[in-house]
Amino acid sequence: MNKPSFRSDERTISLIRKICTCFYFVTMVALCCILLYRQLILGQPLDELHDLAMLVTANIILWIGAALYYGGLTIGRVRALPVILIYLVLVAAGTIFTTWKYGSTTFGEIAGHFITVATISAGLVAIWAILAYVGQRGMDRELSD
Amino acid sequence: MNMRFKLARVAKDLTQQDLADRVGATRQTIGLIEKGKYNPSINLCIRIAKALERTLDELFWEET
Repeated sequence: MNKPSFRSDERTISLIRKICTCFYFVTMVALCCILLYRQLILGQPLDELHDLAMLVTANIILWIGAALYYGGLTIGRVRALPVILIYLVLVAAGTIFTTWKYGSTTFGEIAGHFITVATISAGLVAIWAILAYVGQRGMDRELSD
Repeated sequence: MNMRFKLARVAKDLTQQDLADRVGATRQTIGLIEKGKYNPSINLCIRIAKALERTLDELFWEET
């Protein structure tokens, strides 16, 4: 009987996963560099960058969510204070970034950015907190069996 | 270098490929374990120990 050309075991699977992780990181960094190059060097309008920006953002958000759910990011018990701190940091960073990105100067524009960022951040943090909580519950159930 | 592992395999008259086939690993993995360059999981250690009819201690335990 012919042996299969490609064989795998725990070592090869682990290696492939490490390589995938490495290349995922390289791809994300490269996409960020491409975004900055197209925006700052080529001067392309922001409308043309939305596809790449959405891809990078969605990837990072989903990556964090999956890591929290499966216990890749262990944060202990989900407590209110760290969640609020993460939320405040996200809101501050997001408001500063969008204000800079759109060149806003008036209070009305900045307040508009703040409300948008605060709403999106609240949704994000809530989803992450729920995922972390559900993941922890699942892990606790497995350990108690 | 894990000489006890290699000697146990040779004593059973098995090649690296034979042992790899029995435990569901690749020949390269068996070679790396023998050279001490790969730490196998406990599941693979148990499969290897059963295939060579040795205990885990006999194959992998290192006196400090």
